[in-house]
Amino acid sequence: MDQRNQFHRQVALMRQSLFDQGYIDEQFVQLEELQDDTNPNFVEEVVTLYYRDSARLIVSIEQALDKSPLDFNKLDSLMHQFKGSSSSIGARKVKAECTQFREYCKAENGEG
Amino acid sequence: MARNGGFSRRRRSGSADGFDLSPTDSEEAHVLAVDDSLVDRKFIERLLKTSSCKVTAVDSGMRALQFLGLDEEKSPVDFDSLKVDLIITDYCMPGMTGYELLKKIKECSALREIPVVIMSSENVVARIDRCLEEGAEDFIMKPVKPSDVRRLKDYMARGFRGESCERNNHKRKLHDHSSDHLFQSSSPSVSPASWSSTSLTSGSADPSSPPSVCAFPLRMSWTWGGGWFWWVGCVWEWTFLPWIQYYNVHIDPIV
Repeated sequence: MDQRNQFHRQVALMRQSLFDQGYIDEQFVQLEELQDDTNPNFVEEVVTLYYRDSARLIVSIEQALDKSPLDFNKLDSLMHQFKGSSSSIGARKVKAECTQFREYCKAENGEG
Repeated sequence: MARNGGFSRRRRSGSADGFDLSPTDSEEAHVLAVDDSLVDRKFIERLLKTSSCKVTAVDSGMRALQFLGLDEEKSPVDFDSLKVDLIITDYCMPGMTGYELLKKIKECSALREIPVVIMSSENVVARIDRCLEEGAEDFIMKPVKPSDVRRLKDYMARGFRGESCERNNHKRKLHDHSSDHLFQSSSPSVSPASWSSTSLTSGSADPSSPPSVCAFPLRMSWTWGGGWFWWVGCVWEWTFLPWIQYYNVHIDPIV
């Protein structure tokens, strides 16, 4: 029981740390509020889906970056998807990076 | 608020090919959610279910049309019995965008009364205007919040089928035929049955308002058999009407 409480405390601290460092925002709280007894693993399911989706998108982005010349429209489209799902789960920093990436795509700045 | 005809009348159990059907309850509103992103679909589905909605989530516009019965291909399962109370769709989707889906729905007489809400993560005014003009009930910025879902419930509860709405009337207003612009009256139009008794003086039933100058929409004369009535309408418009207006402006203006 003690160990369980300790784990809970650790998880709570990690969670707070993610908020404090700006990795997640209030949208994540919305996600947590949608979890209840009828759907106790909702957050875990959504985050798992997000990781899978992100992994797929990152592979596609890497492949697109390997091409020459760069297809900025394709990159922008992929980042748009990535940004959308990041935004839905509250992954604030990832979303910000996606926004920045898209700015570079719009400016056709391959170096960026 | 009464809900008229907004619920599934018959239930379907289990899931059908490609469609994610949630457990049914004939009292719940049925929402069709369209989004190519799995994460977003999961999120919006959960959000709607916590608001006591039955949700069908599909991953593309084509799937949505197939579900609604607009697709040319025969669906393996008969969905005719399912009624959709609201369609919420992402704007940016590969293949068919949310806007294109909206257009197809509004072009179909059987489906055009279903309220359609568009979601997007990008705040592009031209995009929003275009969707609203095409007949979308609302345009929601992603990520969707519980307050947005409460608003969606209002659309469903108000029974938007066949009813007009101020928010949805960009297109409808553009098509609205106003017969009063020629007359610029502030009083209600006189009905065809009473046009002949329209007062020509300021002694109308309501002394605080000008006489019914918008008394005789020309179109009424056409519907009443053209011919003689048309001439009467013209005489009214060209002779008596200017005198009434002159009287109101120069002799006895209503301040």
